[in-house]
Amino acid sequence: MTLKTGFLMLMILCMLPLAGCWNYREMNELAIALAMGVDKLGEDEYRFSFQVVNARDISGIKATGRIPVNVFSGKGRTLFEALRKASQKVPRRINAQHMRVFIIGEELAREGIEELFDFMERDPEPRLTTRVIIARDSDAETILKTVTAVESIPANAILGKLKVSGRVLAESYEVEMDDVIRGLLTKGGGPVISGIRHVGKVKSGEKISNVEQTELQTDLFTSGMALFKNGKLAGWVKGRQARGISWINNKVKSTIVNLDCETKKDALAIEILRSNTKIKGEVKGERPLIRIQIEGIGVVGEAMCPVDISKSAEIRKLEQLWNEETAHDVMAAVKTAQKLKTDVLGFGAAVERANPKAWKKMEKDWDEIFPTCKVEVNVESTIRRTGMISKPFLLKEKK
Amino acid sequence: MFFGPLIRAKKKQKKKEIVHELGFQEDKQPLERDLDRMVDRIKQELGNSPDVIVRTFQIGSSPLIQVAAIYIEGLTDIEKVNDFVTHSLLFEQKENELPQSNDPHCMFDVILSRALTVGDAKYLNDWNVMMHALLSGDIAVFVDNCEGSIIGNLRGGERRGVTAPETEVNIRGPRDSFNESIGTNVSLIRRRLKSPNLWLESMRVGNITQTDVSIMYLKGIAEDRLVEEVRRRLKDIRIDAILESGNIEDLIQDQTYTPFPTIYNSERPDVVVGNLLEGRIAVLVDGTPNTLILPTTFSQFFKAAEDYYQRVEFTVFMRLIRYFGFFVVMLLPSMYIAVTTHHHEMIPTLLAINLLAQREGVPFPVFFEAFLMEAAFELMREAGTRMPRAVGQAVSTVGAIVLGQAAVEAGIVTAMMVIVVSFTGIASFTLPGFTLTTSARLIRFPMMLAASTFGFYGIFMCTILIVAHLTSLRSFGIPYLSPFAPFGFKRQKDTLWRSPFKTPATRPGLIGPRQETSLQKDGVPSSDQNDQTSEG
Repeated sequence: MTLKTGFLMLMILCMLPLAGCWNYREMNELAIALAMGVDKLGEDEYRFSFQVVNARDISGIKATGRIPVNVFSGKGRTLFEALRKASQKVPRRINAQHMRVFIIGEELAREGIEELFDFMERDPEPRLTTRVIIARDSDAETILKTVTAVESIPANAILGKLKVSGRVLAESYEVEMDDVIRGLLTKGGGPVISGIRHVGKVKSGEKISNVEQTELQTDLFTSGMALFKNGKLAGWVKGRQARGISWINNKVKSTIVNLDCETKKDALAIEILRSNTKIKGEVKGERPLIRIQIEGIGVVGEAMCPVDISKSAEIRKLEQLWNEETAHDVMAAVKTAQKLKTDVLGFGAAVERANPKAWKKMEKDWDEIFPTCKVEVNVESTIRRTGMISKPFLLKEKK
Repeated sequence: MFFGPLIRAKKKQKKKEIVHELGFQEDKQPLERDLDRMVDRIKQELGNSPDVIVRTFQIGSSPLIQVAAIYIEGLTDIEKVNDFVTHSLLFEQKENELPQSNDPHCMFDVILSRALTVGDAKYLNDWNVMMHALLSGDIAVFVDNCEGSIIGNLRGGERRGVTAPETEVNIRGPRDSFNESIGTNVSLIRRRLKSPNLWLESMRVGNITQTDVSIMYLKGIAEDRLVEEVRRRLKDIRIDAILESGNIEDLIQDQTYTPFPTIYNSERPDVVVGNLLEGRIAVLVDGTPNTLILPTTFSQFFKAAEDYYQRVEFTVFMRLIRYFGFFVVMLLPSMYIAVTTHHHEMIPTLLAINLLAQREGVPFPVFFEAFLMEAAFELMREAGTRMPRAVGQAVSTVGAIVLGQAAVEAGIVTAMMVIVVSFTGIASFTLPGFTLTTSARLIRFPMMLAASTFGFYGIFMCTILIVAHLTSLRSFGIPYLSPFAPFGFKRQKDTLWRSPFKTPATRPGLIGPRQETSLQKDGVPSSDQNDQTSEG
């Protein structure tokens, strides 16, 4: 062996222990947990639940069509202990690499979620892009146990509902684990996390028979958003307030804004195509001023009243109305947040960007200063198109 | 500049030439004067083989001269012997008086200049050369009381004609290929390159077989030192038999133990001509259609002859497909193993569930499953190559059914594994130079082992090793990976992509930039290497 090949061998040998964490595991030694949930059980004890996919029953030509997932859980004073305790029930190693959603029970959320995310960040398996959801008015395990329709895997169903409604309705939006961790670090504020609600009888949702009818007896809905303060759930917002939160946090991709049409209330629907929000802070004396600038582009999606939108004056009028509606949403969200004294809107960061010196002084008392912030909303909307028709038949009828 | 390794690569002399006495003696031996003794000696030397034909007759009128013509049946064209030797000596000389001469050489001169109508004939007085000529299919004419012989080239006999290539198939382009006769092969090349600079050198290699080996190159384009090196390596060969160009390849290559071929071979004359024009050297071996082309670089194996006949856009696309195919053959099974045993997080979730469903109930680990299927595929391929044509259909049908359907239905392998193996198998047929595919097929197995023990990390380490090995390889002093490593931007015109012929073309140097244009005004390459002619 020459010196050169010897050196090469040595290099290769050195490379072996340098590898990160991986291990040889056959696919069929794994129980792939597509969703996980955590609940609080009494004093300092967690229940860690896993929705494990039954691959053979749902995939391939030999799919049996039995229940797509099973739910297992373990109890422990730490999450890791609970996970290992669950091995008493699960015949395979639980694998979190494909976790789609992470659900937190409301009770636990009210007591504080800060401790949960250390394990999620420390362990190599869970992804930090996993979506986090709060189980509204229920515990996480109940949500995990509910069989869903259309998407046979409940984890995918929850994720799908969250994704689609977030994109087209904007009354909630997807929050990933790293967003939550970043939110927990906000001074005087916290993360905003979408909620999911269980509707119907708990027991009937656990059986496959739940999806063997056109209308499900038991189902899951995305419902509102949870505002956190210092890692604890402070309150829920829903509907237009929740949409206001989306506006302020620049998460609106598309939504429908209803406008009044002459005498008829909420008769004209605007579909938002694009929206952009900028928050600017300004410090004048004790109370900071926050300027929220929203630019929106939309189309007239529906008009249930005879309005002649071929005239530009009419369009300007609609744009004005739309501006007011948006500002109304935003102000409702601001008021709720100020009432709950939690800066989930990123006002603190805006002040810091605008005036770092002033922020240094305010930082300690931001909890007290935030509810007193003055907010100015400025919306500039543009209607681009009016859909496929220019002369609606309702208008002709009127004449 | 890169010729340093040439000197290092000089072959070690073979031990002792034990079998040397079995072959032809090297020293010169004059022939017998007496005709009967001469004929007897030849017969005796060839073990009284009945295919040695001796025709004795008399020519001239006064006095009659005893003449013998000897040839070997099957190697010599009998009709030509009748027309050009017996007929011309027997009939046409009856009327003519052949001038007498006591000088033995003079008699041959008279026959050569006045009697024999054979085109390629010469006087020879050397036992060994005469015997070799006889065994190559020439006819030897002896005259009583004269020392020496006349050797006439009347080689003939049964030969395979020029047919369409069987391994390097094209859609567009010439359909002729080399056959087993070196003469035909040389003529196929010459027909395409009507240049006085196309030079041919012949030599005999193999102590017993005495195989004709020729090197062809374009004087002025091929580096003189390269030609000299090839000549030297061929002359250094000490071996009994050369049966195929593969024997030569094995004996003259730079590195013996490597999975990668460092000498290209082709059975297409147009490929050889193209390579000659790039300054490469062709080594033709009698008895095989496969002609060696050297020096060889890695990128050559991804070029099909058709690349130069098809449109540029399509050529680029096909080349990329071929490179992709090479990596598929080498890496796809190991990547599948790595992903399913070490890196589950890399599989999209729905695919992961699908794979998991397939894996349920499969008794073997993924590595063993992959190994089993790849081995089965290699078995089928080998069987397909070796089996008699008549049973081919049956075996391939049974094989496909066994490999695919039955194995999956029995739950022994997953359907995904069958897809991976078939995809690998199909990809292995994309490379025009079959030899490089065999390298990828070999490397695949250690790759799979590395993937199952270390995952992507193992694959990566193996790849580093292979790239390191590739960069260390030389083919007649030329870096094997050039022009990728050492990288030359100007030499990339015919590697991953091909520039259109209209772009100003400089002839690509094999090792360094050479600034000559390949489209010179008179179309004849200049023999002066420093000549910098520019095309207007």
